[in-house]
Amino acid sequence: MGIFDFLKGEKKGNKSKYFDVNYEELLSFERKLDSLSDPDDNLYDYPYWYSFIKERATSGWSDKTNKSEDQFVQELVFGHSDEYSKRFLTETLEEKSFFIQPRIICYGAIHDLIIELKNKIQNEYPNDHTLINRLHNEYLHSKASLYGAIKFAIINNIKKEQIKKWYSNFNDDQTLIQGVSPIQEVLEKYLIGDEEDRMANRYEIYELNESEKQEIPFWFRKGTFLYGYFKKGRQVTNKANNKSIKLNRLERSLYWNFKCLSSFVENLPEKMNNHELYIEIYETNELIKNYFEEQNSEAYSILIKEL
Amino acid sequence: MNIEGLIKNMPNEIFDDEYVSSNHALFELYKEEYSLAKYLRKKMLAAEIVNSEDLESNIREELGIYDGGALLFKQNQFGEVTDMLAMMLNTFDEKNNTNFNGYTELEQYHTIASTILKMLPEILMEKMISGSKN
Repeated sequence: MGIFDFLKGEKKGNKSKYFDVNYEELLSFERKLDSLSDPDDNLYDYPYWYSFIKERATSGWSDKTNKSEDQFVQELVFGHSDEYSKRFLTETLEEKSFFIQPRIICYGAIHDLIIELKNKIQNEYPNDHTLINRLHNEYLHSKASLYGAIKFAIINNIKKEQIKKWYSNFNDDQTLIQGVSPIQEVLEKYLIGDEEDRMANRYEIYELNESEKQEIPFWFRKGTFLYGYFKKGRQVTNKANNKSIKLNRLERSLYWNFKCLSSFVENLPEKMNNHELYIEIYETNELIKNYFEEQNSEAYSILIKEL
Repeated sequence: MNIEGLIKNMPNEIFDDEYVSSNHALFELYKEEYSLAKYLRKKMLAAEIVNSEDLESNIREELGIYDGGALLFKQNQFGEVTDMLAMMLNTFDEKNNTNFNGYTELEQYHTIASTILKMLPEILMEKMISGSKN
């Protein structure tokens, strides 16, 4: 920081609401957030939306260890869109559009403002590494929040022309918009489940068509720890007894998730028995076993009973 | 419009032993029926069910997939789930032990199971009438 920097930011009565220093660039950013807001509609309360970016950038969500920044952002994009999609599973297109529009507009404007602010701070205060790092984190999270919202819009058939009207700097980059499921890395690292299913294309519930969705029992729809569904069945072999059986798409999905959940049940410490998380995993696994026992006893006998 | 909501997505509660043992007993005896009450409770916590009309339409939708025979069986099972939850809650009340983490959940499951039980005769009747027309 230069010796005359105090002249740039320390104006009397100008205190930053969000930062520890009072540089004019930061105060100007804050004033811009306020001026963009519509006082009659709190869906367009920019400081409110910025508070999410700020919080995400300083929380554990910012752990980028062993990941490229692209991968980090793509995983967050997937996560944001996934959360919105599961929350809006049955709502109409109009309701989804009403929900996502302010997010794209506000996150888009905030993302552009953060890029501008970050560049200014890097030029004016090149030695303020703490602030530059924080702004870089906020840049990554504003990008992920914006493209997570855009992914949700695209999945729900909102036209790209409409998205461009909401956010004129929209970058139609398929890799960024597609995102990456963070769980895939864990599944591959620990070799969870059968390889064929682990490496196959799996779908989220909101990516299934109506008849595929209708087949799914209520207890297999909304768990936090479900690892995707298949659109086709396959022949499955239990390596322990070398017996095979053909499963339909629902049974294949159930069996795949059973194998994943079983790995977690086996590895969770006993002291976690009172945790809601453990109870949810245990009960979903038991419900899957129960389903096979009642609906396909041969598969139950080959794949589950003799596990 | 207020955009702040009480949305609960992550299962992050740590329940007390009273809840864990009651929940385990109910789950082992009535896996699907008890799980339906819990599933509807989660939808309420996630603000996906916000009033009694929503609750009733969800119950109708979930039970609509069963035929008459299965619904009769479900009626019996939900009766037992409701009774067992009532018995557990009464025991906790008598012992003045209602402050543990999970008591409210059990109360809510009881209310939901009772609502399902109350609606089942009507759902069963509708199913039989629509079946006889086919």
